[in-house]
Amino acid sequence: MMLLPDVWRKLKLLSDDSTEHLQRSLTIFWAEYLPEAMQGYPLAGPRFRRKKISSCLSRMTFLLESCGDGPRTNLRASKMLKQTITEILARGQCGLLRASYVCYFWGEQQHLDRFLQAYAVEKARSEARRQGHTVTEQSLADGSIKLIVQVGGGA
Amino acid sequence: MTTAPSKTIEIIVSPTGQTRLETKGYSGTSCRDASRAFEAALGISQGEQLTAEFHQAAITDQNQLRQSG
Repeated sequence: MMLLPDVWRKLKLLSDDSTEHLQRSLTIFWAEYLPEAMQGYPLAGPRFRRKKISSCLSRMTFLLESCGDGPRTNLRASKMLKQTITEILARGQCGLLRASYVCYFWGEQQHLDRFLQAYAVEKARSEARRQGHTVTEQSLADGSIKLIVQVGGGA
Repeated sequence: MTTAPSKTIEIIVSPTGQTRLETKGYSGTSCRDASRAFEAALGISQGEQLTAEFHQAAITDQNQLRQSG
């Protein structure tokens, strides 16, 4: 099995900028084991077909490219819903999931934490770049990562 | 001639993925405008603690109102 940081690096190979397509928040469902319903599940969306590794090897699978903004999902997501597990379908239909990328993760909690940290850093960097700010990164002693966004500092 | 203090936003991401966001160099409610986009990108906010700069600006505004009133 691969570690999530490796998965993250591979996800960056999906496009020129991985966060370019992750403009919305990422919703993660965690499970200790790979759910049976997920085995053999194809990656959702054409942009993920360029992924070079099997989704089953990555501990992380994108279930939906996007959910709808309300109780009714959009057309593209509706097509995907046919292949998703019941839990995701129910949450999407009752509006608990709103405009999120949905991701199913299985494995150890610490690996999920590391992924969430990497995701948050990338997401913050992306937002700062989008607004034309300069970002510097520092690693702290407790394992945290500190981002200093210089407002109006230029990209 | 005095130069305006540089505006920075510090984001600390914990090893578990939780984030803490702090604005510096802002006065009053402008810090909320600056941090809003990051808050939206990073998830649901669990709390807010106003800085001294926020309250300082509010006091200044009150003084200005008194002088003009």
